[in-house]
Amino acid sequence: MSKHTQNILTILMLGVVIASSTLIVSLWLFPQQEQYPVLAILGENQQAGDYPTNVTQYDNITLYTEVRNLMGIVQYFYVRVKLATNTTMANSTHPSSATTLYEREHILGHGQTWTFPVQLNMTTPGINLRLTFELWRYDLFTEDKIYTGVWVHLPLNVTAS
Amino acid sequence: MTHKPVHLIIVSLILVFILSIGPTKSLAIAGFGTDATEAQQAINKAQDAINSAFGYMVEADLAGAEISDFVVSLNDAIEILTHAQAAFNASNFTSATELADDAKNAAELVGQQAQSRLLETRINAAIQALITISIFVVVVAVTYLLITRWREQKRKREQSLMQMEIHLPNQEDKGETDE
Repeated sequence: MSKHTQNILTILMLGVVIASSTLIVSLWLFPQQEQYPVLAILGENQQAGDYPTNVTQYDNITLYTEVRNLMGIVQYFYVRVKLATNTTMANSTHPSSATTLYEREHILGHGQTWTFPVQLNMTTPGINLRLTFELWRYDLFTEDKIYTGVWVHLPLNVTAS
Repeated sequence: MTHKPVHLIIVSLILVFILSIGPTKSLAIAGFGTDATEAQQAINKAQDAINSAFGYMVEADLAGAEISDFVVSLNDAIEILTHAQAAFNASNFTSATELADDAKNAAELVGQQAQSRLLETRINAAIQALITISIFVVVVAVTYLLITRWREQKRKREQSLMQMEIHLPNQEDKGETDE
């Protein structure tokens, strides 16, 4: 092997070592963080707590919903509110099969939070109901709204008037 | 042949009936339906424009561009579209169409701006990459030259050392010196 080739190989090896060590150090310093959205229900005073549990039919209730985007990229979110029962409850893979009572949409950049009021008139009486808030997002690949698997619910009894 | 006039009369009566009832009814439906259809089409177009603008925004965000102003503008367009949908639900089709058109225009503007910023960001990234590669190439070239020069000098030094005549003091010289 000539000296010229040896020189080139040495420099190439040096480049590879520098590049790989830079990559390792950057991965160590800035580890990949888990990406997820946050959905929360707040009471009438915009704080966690004081949630209505027993209401009379046709009562108006006001709640606040908070959505936080920690997905690492801008997202187009939809919040759907449904009045579910034990048989129509949402889970992390399937949304509730109950009818949507209310829907709002908003675009959030990474790290942004969106808080908005939800006013509902409880027309359907029942016990052990679940006022369910589901988080959906617009998917660019399917060009449709998809369920994020994130949901929260409030147990609610609606007494017939 | 005798049945022909009878047929003509029947056909004429049917035509008269259709012309007297049909057009009035269809026009009435058309009058209502056109507004509703137009409004629905305007809403759909506005939604498509919002989705499209969102797509460009995602691309710009992924490229590392600043998009917070687009987020605000596109949320405004969404809000206008929500009002358009509310007007549509209230059968106020003219207002729904106008609002949907406003939402569409706002979303299209965001889409165009996001595209421009995406392009700008990509050009900047390409320039940065070019500068980085150039610096790397220069560093490698300088290192190569330095190593080559150093080896050359080392080789010359070794050669000159090999060519040097070594004069060791012999025994006689040593004796003379001792005396």
